[in-house]
Amino acid sequence: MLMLDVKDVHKHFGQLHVLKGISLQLERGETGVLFGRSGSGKSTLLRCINYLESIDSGEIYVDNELVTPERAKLRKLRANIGFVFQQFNLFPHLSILGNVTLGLKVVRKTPEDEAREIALIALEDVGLKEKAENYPEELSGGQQQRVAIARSIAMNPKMILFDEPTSALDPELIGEVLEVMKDLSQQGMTMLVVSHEMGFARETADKMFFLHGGKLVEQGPPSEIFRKPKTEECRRFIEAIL
Amino acid sequence: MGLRWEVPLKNLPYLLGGALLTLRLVGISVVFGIFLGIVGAMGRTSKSKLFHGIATAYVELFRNTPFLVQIYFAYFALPTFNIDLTPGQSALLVMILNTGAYMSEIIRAGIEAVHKSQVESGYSLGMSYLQVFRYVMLPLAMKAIAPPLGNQIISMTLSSCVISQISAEDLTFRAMMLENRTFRSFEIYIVTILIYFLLAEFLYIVIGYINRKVFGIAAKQKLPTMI
Repeated sequence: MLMLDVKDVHKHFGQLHVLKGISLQLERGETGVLFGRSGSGKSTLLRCINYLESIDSGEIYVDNELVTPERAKLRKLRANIGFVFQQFNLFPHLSILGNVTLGLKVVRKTPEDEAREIALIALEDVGLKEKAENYPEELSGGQQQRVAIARSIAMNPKMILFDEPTSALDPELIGEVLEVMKDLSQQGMTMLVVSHEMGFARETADKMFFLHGGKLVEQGPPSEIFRKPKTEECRRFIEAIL
Repeated sequence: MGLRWEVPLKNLPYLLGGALLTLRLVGISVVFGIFLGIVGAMGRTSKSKLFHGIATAYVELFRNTPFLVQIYFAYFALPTFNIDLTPGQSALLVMILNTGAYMSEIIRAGIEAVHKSQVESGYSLGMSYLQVFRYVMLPLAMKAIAPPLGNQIISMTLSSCVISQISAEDLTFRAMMLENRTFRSFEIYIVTILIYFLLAEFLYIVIGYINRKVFGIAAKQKLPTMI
């Protein structure tokens, strides 16, 4: 069953043509890794999927629902798609528990007690239950990113999008975040991850997508991508970062 | 020079009664002014041309005309349209509208300073604009602008003395009345100044307390010294 279906998506920033007819698919429960040079359109594509960016043409379906700018539908869609940002983007004025419960209380209208319970379970999943009463500024980057993941999990999403989740982290903090993501993937969460963590991709990804100059140049399982990349660009890129 | 301090001291309850009116007017104007300020700031940052236009017209009108003339207008000109307000009502109406306009601009600045990433975070959870505004933008903006908002409240308290011009019985008005009766200008105005001063200091303390308790803003921040 298809969870994500991106069909011939084009996107311009002014004169700049950033996405040049991207099509890709992800089955339910699969983990996809998007990679490529900076400026290749990876993050833009990810942001288009929950309409943080508009698209100029093409269609995107999430669980057979068309992604549209129509407000009520869009809010429902976004509530069902988790988004983990490069800079974590926690709410600095709320406690960790407050961060994880806000969406439940405001969007899902979950009663306070129940929201708290769900949030604590989500925080336990990422190993941070004991930090529930702390504030974001008291946590390390890796911990903040795990809270951001818990914030997504708590909403019980159909899919989670990760926009370079470890590139703002100190090297020694990357592992803990990838570990949480690996667990999620194994539990059957559908995930699309923009990342250059090739070790993570090799172990976790079902599919990899190589973007180059706004086009999807190559896709396939990690075994193919790493062993025998079909295109010269992909081969060179993988050599450069491994 | 025979100073007769017993004149203002004997009439202290009379003067303090005026100060109490000032304080009451300020209190009500702050509550409604912040509400108006939030709505005004929403308009000023709105994409809707109509809402933006109305908010901008309101803010510009009240910020770019003299407070005293606004008061005269409410008291002397509105009766032309059969709107008869007492001096106190006129004063309150104008104080709310005037301080609401200034607060709109302060709150707008705070909203614009909120980082785009936190706002996106809210939207990505499926929140509507109003929910993002209420739960993310406003609390973050309020923390950033609590100090200038406090200054605006104190500045309004002091400039509210012009309402004495339409015989609203505030502290200034009562001081003038007392002076007319007794001609003890020096003693009366020294005491009046002292009352205003204590009133402002009192507000500084209250606002400082709120800033610390509600917004967690330290009273004095030590800046690093560069060598």
